[in-house]
Amino acid sequence: MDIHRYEKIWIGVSLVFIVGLMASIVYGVVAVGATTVGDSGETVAANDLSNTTFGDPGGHWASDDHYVVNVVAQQFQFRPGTREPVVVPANTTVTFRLTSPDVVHGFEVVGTSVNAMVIPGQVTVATTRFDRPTTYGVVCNEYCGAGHQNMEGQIVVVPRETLRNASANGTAASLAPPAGDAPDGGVA
Amino acid sequence: MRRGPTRRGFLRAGATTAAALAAGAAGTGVAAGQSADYGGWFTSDSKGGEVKNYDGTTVDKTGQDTVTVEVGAQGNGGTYAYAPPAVRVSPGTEVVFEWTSNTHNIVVEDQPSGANWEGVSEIKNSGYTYSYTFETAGVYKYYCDPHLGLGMKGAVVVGGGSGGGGGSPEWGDWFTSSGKGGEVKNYDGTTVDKTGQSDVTVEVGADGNGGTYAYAPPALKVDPGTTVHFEWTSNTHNIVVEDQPGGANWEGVSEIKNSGYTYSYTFETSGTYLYYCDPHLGLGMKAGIFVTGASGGSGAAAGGGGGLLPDLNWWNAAWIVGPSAVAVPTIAAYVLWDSWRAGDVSLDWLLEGETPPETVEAPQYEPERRIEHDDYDPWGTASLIAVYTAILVVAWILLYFVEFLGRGPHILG
Repeated sequence: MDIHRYEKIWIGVSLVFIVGLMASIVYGVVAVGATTVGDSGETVAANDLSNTTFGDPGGHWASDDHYVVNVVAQQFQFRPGTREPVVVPANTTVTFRLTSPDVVHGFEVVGTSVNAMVIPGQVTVATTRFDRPTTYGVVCNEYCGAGHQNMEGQIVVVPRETLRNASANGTAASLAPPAGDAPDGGVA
Repeated sequence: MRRGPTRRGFLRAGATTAAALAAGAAGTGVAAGQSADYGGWFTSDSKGGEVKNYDGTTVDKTGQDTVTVEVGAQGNGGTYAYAPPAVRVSPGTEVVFEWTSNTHNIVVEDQPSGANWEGVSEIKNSGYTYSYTFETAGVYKYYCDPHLGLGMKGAVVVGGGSGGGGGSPEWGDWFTSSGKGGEVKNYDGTTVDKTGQSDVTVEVGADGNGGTYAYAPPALKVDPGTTVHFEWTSNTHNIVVEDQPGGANWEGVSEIKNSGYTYSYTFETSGTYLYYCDPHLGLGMKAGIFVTGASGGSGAAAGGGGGLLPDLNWWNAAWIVGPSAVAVPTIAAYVLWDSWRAGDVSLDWLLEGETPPETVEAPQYEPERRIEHDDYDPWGTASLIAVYTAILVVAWILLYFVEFLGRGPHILG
């Protein structure tokens, strides 16, 4: 077969491009560790979360270097997150466990790559690591009803020892600045 | 139409008797023919704000044994409504509350003295039902605790209203499939009670009956002297009066009018008025207005005939003849052409003496200069592809390395 030399060049360039796409993703997963939410989360009864770990949502230490936060995303608030912020430690593995009792919601930590879908009856598990104390906003990015535009929350990253001491003293909630008024459409 | 058989029976038995019996059955509470007073319960200056799904209508369900109220129906900006928000029932009526969405309850705000309705304080989810038999006459107000701020409030009025001497509407079989033109599908057995209002609007050509072929509301109850504004919301409808009380001379709108047209008429004579849309009678575009002040049933037995075939007036005839005039010759021509193509029918006698023209091919030219395969350099195309490739590479770098990997923290598992 007689292939024109320009075509040979073009085939070579496109092969390099495809290999480059794959290589960059492998780099992202292996070197940086950036993955997506898997299907490891268990299922829960969306109609009744009271007997699950989401009955009293919030954060706790799973081990010395692992902080787990259970968050319920519901119309139209994050519990915790909206009325009081989610307080997490810096430089620590933080696992968010998310579920919804009503409809599909989004959990996007604004300005970061932490972005997950919250599905009724399913626990979404997203693990991350915040490298310095700061404050992030959280928004719901899946239309969930009439008050969707008001569904927002806050994550406050504090130094690890600060949170550890506060957890021991039971004063973790006081670490965060006031989150402000609950958005409109919340439970009256 | 589902009414208690007993009540329906005596309504048929005789109008005067019916009114008297109904007055007795309804007990006391609210004055005859008068709208219930909710004390501002549905307005914005009350606790929890305005109830947006309340349009000033108290749905009249008097005389029914069982009445259903949806809890968590569409309204108030979501599934935050009781439907209907205001309902009038006879004493002894069982009201069934059906949860159609999640996380609602029923908190009783106010009820007549002597009544002890407790509502449903626990928050329940879709599928839950609860029923309560209201015995004491008066106004019951209730709300949903989680969604009070969105205006999820309701009321049940027990007694009074339609039974109390104003007369009850008796539609006969006007709305059923045995009435002329067939069943009115947008009529759900509810007569919308607009008594006490001086101006009432009826939409002509609202959604219903399989298209925009409905009067909304189909069944209406008003006081004498009420002006009803008919507003055309879609095209080609009219109002033909089928029946009206003796002494009334409502003429309707015989001409066919289009969207935007309005027409008002003040109903003075008490009784039942039945009307329909001539072009869409066969689709069930029918409605009735009951004017209080007299016993129901003056137009009761009307609208019996017909049913299977619409009246063959010029409009119906045009619907049949017009399309047929196009369709029949078209189908005949197609069948003939198909047979001819298959060779079953010879049409040569039509084409006799004519031969199809010869098709002449274009002449082939020799190229002026012949270029061999490897002598040709499409550098223009090549450079365009190079630019596109560069754009793709840059876009991928921006997307993956800058936007995604560059914006930590990431989901790590």
